[in-house]
Amino acid sequence: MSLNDDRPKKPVGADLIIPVAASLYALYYVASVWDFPPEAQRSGIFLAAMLLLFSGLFFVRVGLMAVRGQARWDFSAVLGPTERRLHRAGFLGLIFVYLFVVEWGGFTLTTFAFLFAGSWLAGLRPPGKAALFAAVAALGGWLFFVVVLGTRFPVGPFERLVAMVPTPWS
Amino acid sequence: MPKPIRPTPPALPRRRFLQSSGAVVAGAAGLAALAGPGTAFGQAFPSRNLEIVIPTGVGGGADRDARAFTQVWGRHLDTNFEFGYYPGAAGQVGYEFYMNREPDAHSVLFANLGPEVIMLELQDTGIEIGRDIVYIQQTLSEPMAVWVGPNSPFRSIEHLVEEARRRPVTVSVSRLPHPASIGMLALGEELGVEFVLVPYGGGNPSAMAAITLEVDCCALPITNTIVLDDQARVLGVFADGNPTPAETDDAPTINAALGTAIPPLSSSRAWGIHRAAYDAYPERVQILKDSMAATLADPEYPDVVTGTGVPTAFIDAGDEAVAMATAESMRTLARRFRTLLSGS
Amino acid sequence: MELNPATLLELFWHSLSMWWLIIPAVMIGILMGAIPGFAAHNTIIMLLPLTLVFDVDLALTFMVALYCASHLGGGIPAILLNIPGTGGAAATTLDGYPMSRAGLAAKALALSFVASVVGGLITAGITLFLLPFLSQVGFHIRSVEMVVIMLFGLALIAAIAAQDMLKGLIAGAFGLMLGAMGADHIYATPRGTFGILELFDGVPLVPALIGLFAISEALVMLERRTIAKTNAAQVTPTWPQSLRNIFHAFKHGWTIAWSSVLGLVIGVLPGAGASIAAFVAYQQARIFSKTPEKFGTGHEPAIVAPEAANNGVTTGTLVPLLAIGIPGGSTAAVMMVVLQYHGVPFGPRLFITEPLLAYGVIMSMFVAYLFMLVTMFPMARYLSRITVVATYYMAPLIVAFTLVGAFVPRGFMTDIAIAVAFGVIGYVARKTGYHVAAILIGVILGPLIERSFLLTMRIHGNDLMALFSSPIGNVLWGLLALTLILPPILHRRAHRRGKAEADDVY
Repeated sequence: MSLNDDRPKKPVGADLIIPVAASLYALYYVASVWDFPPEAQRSGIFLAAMLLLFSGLFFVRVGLMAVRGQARWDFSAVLGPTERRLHRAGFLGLIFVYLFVVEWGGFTLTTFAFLFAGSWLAGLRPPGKAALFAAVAALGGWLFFVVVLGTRFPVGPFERLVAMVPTPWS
Repeated sequence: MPKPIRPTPPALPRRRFLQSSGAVVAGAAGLAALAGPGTAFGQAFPSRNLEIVIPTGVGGGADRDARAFTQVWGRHLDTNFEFGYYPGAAGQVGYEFYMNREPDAHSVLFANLGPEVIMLELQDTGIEIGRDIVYIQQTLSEPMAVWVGPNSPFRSIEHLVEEARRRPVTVSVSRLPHPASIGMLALGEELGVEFVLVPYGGGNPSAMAAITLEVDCCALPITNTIVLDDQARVLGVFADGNPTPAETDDAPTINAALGTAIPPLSSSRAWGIHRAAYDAYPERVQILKDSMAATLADPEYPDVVTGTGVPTAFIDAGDEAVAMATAESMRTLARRFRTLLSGS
Repeated sequence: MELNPATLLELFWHSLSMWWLIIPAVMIGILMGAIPGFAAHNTIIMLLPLTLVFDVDLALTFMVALYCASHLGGGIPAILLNIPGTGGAAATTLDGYPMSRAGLAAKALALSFVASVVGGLITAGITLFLLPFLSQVGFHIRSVEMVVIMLFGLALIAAIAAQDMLKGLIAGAFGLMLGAMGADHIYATPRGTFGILELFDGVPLVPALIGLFAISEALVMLERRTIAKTNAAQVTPTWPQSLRNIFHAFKHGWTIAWSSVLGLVIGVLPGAGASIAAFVAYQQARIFSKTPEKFGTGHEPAIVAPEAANNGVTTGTLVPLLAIGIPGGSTAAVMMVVLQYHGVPFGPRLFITEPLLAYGVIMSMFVAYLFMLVTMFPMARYLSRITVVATYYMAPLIVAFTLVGAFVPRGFMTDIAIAVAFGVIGYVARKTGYHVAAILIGVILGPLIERSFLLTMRIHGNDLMALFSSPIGNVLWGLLALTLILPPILHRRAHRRGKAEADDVY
C-alpha cells in the first residue's frame, strides 16, 4: 500500500467554483474592453492577468493533488452539513422568489410572506408562531422603512389599501 | 378608480420642506405623512409629486441650480418636488434612468446642456436628443473658465500659455466630454501647445487638484470659481465677454488675451422631458412650460439664485427653440473633437 | 476669532445648550448606522427637508452629531452579526465577530464604543486647534501618495489570507476585478457591466457589502441555532462587569490615539474615506502588534484600531469643506447644500464671517461624542443579547431588512438583485475557504487605486517612475515594503527562537 493511500484525501471541487467564476468574469471583462483606448483597458487587463495567474496556479495545485491521488471530488462543502440541508436550500430559493415577487407584491406583503416561509424553513414552529413573528416584523418594517423613512420601496396591495383608508389626520 | 391623492400645502411651508430630497429621499413624503399634513383631490396635472432627475451627484452645481429653481417654481406649479440623483458614466446613468421613467410628464430631467449633450454624442447610448428627449426650457448659462489656485505661480493666461510652450501643462477637468475640456483642446490646437487634460470626475475634486497644485490649472464652468471666491484666480473666460468681471478677477476672454478664435463655450442648464410625454400630453407639457417661464420671470428668482452664490448675469431664460439650439451647437463641437474626447 | 480658553468655553456651552437636538441626533445616528444601507449620508439626505427648516447652526449640529453617531453604530452589527453597517466597519468584523461567537460580544462592543468615542474626541480636539495645518495635508498627499496609501489597505488581503495565501490572493484579485467594473475614469466608457445600467457607475458598495456579509452570513447562520455558543445569562454582563469592560478598553489608549489620528489624516484626503482608514489602521495595528498571529481570531486591538480610525475620518472629511470650501465626502457635500440653502458662505470665508458657526461645527462633534459616552453603557450591556436570539428569527429578518438597505442608497430595484448575487458569491466563498473581507477590500479599493494611478499617469506623461517621484511617496513606499517584508522575517525569527528555546529545555 502506498503512503498516499494512508493519507485522508482532501475534498476538492467546491473550492474551484470561485476561481472558475472569477476567471470567466476576467475573460469576459477583457473581451468587453478589447476595442477601448489603452487608458480604459490597462488596469482591467492587468487585473485579469493577475487573477488568471492566481487561478491557474490554483488549478495546477488541484491538478497535482488529483494526479497524486490526494484529492477526491466533493461539492458537499458548499452545501453545509447534511442536517436540514433541503430547508436551507429552500431558504435560498425563497430569496430568489422574493426578488421576483417584491415588485408587484410591495414591501409589506412580500416581507410578511418571506418572513413567514423563511422562519418556518429555518425551524420556527408552530406555523402560528411563525405567522405572528412575520406579521409583527413586516408591520414594524413597514412603519419604520416606508412610513417614517419614506423608502421608495415598491408599493403593493397592502400599501395601496392603506393609502385609500381615510386617516384621522387626512 | 380612485382619484389620485395629492398633499395640500400645509401651514408650515411644506413645499420648501419637501423640495429637497435625494434618490433616497422621497422619505420626506413619508415623514410628512406622519407629521400630519392633509390630502386633497387636486387638479388633473400634476396629479402627484413631480420627480426631478439629476444626472449628477448631490451637492453639485446641478443640484444647487435645480433647488434654487424649485424654490420659486413651487409658487407657479402646485406640487411637491422629489429629487433623485443618478450620477455615473458622465451623465449616461441619469439619462438612461430617466428614459425608464413613465413618460407622463410627472418626471423631468434637469440637464446640463454642455457635458451631457457631448456624452450623448460620443457614447453609444441609443438616446437621441429630439427623438427621445426634448429640452423645453433653458434656465441658466455660464461660460467656461480657466483658473488657478491662490498659491499658483501663474498670474495670467499669457503666463500659462508661455509655460505650455516649454512643457505640457496639466489641466484638471471634471471629465473629458465637457465644454471646458473642449475649450482647452481648442486652445492647444490653435496655439500649437499641449494641454494635458486630467479628468477628476467632478467639479469639486477638479477644483481641489488646482488649489493643492497637483495640476497647473483647472478648467470648469465659471460659477465654480465664483463660489470658491479667493481660493480661485480666474485667468481667462471662453466667451465673447466676461459676464461677471467683478467676481472673476476681471479676467479677460481667452480670445481677447491670446488672439484666438475659439467659439464661446458655455454650459446651460435646461429642463428636459421625454419625447413620448411631449407628444402624448401636450397640455401637461404646456403647463410645465408656462410655470417654468413664470418662475424665470418671478422677481424672487434672481434673489434665490444670488443666494446660492450664482450671479444673476447667468440667468439665461430660453424657450424650447433656444434650448434645443444650444444643444445642437454643443453636438457640433463634440463631433469636431470626437477623437480627442473619446480616445478612439 | 482667536481660540483662547474663554472662546472655547463659550463654544462648548453653546454646543452643550443644543443637547435637546444632539441627543436625538445621536440616537438616530446610532440606529441608522447600525442598519446597512442607511449610513450617515443617506440618513442626512433623508432628513434634509427637516434640517432645512432649522436655523443653520442647529441644522449643522444635528447633522454632525448624527454623522459621528452613525460611525459608532456601524460597528454594532459588524460585531454582533458579522454585518458591517458601513464600509468603514468592514474591518471590525474580522475580530469583532469571532469575539461574539465566543460569547464575548459585550466586551467587543465596549472596545468598539470606547475606541469610537475616544477616537472621535481626540480628533475633534485636534481639528479644533490644528484646522489650518490639517488643511495643508492635501498639498502634500496627492494621487501618487494615494496610490501607496491604498496599497497599504490592499496589503491587508495578504494578512487575512495567511491561512491559504493562494485562496486569499484569488479572493482579493476577484474583488479588484469586480471593482474594475463600470465606466473608466478617463473616457467614462462602461466596462464589464453585462450591459446592466445600474453597474455603469461601478459595483455599488452598499449592495455588495450587504450581499457579501449580510446575505451570506444569514445563509451560513442557519446551520446553527444561535450566533454565540452560550446562553443569554452568559452573554449579558452585570452592570459592574459592563463598567469593567469599558474601563478595560481604555488599556488600548495608544492604539486608539494613533489609529484615530491616522483616520483623521486619511479623512482629510480627497477621495479617501472610512473604509480605507479602517483597513489601513487594522493593518498597522497588526504590524506593530507583538501578537500579529492573533489578529483575525477575536483580538482586542484589532477591534479598537478600525473603529478609532473610522471615527477619526468623520472630523477629517469636514476639514476640506471648512478650510477650503470643497466637500471632502458625500456627507460634507450634503452639509454644503444646507450652507448654500441658508446663503452662508463656506470655506475660509466661513471663519471670517461666521467664526462661531465654523468652530461650532467641530465643537458640536466633540459634544456629540461626550453624549455618546453616556449612551454606550446600556448598549454595551444589553445589545450583546442579540447573539443568543434563535437564528430562525435572525436569518430571515437580516435578509428582509438588509435588502431594503441595499435598495435605499440609489433606489434601484436591481441593487437588490446585485446584493443577492453578491450574497451567493459570499456564501460560496465562505463555505470554500475564500475570505469575503478580501473580496470586499478589492471591490472598495480597486476603483480608488485605479483612479489615483490613472491621474498620476496623466499628470506625469505616462511615466511609471512618477510613482517614485515624491519624497513623501517614497517614504510611504519604504514603509509599505517594510510592512510586507518584516512580518514574515520576524515571525520566522520568533519561530526559530521559540524552537531553540524548546530545544534548550529538552
